[in-house]
Amino acid sequence: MSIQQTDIYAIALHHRFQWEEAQSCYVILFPEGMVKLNGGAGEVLNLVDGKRTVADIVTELKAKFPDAPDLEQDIIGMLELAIEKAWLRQIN
Amino acid sequence: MTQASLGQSVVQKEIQSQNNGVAANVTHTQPLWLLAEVTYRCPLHCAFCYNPTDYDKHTQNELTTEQWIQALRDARRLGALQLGISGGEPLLRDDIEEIVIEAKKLGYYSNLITSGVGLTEKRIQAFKDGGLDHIQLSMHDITEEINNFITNTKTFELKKKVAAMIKNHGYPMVLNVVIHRYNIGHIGQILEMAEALGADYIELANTQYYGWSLVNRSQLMPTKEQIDEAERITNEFR
Repeated sequence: MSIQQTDIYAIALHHRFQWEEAQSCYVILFPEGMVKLNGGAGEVLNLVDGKRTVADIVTELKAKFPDAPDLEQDIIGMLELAIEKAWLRQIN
Repeated sequence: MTQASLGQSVVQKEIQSQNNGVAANVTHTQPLWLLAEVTYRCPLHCAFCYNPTDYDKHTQNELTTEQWIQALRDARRLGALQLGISGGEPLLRDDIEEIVIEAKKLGYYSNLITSGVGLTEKRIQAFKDGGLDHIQLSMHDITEEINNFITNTKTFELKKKVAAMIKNHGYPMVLNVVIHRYNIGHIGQILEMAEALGADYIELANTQYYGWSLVNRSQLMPTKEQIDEAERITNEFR
């Protein structure tokens, strides 16, 4: 599947995304399992809220991390992975 | 996090743990899962049960609601994220609603692990309102006869009704089927039944040979050939 700039995603049904103080990372929780996200992946998914478009997410992260190379490709790559793993659902 | 690390770390797509919450690459150990066996009491009498054979002696010594809530808080501080509310049959306690509310408040992803006996419309609605995240229902086989034989109860139709209730309330449903010699030959049909009941996940669990099941082990243990065949059928179904 190809991700469009105008796409809007949210965390999948029955999944919960939250910050974990004890692990110092974001996690996704779902029946019988969990995934710990590293810093970058957590930053991306933290902006996936059912309202922001992919373009919005890219713009915000570019502003936050102006020196990171290939940021847009990385963000799209992360979103593709999250969709493939069924952590996200498309809203629009 | 440094600015440079964002791009790099996203590319790595590093996932530190998956596989039922068991961390793969952690350098320090934090508990991720709290399995709260809140009671040994159970209306079923399964031959494969891991309950101690003298479990009726312990029923007076169950932890109180307050003690469980303290245990939930302590485990949460240590890092536990997933909460299984299990037993015995947890629904034999009348404080599960309170425990669910506290679990939600603490940020657990909570799971009620039940035989289905005692799950009423009223209770399931209270669990939903309290923030319970999912329900794991035990099923035993495809026929009433074997279900009733292995559990020593007439619970087959009830379990099917409870499965429908769980789905109606919008819960993700995990079916748990404990595997032993009497049902391992029906794996294919068990998987079809799970699909027909609308299960979102199915767990084919090995019998845990403690307590009652240890006593009954010679009757329950499948042969190597049966296991290989069951694995083949399961992989095909996947």
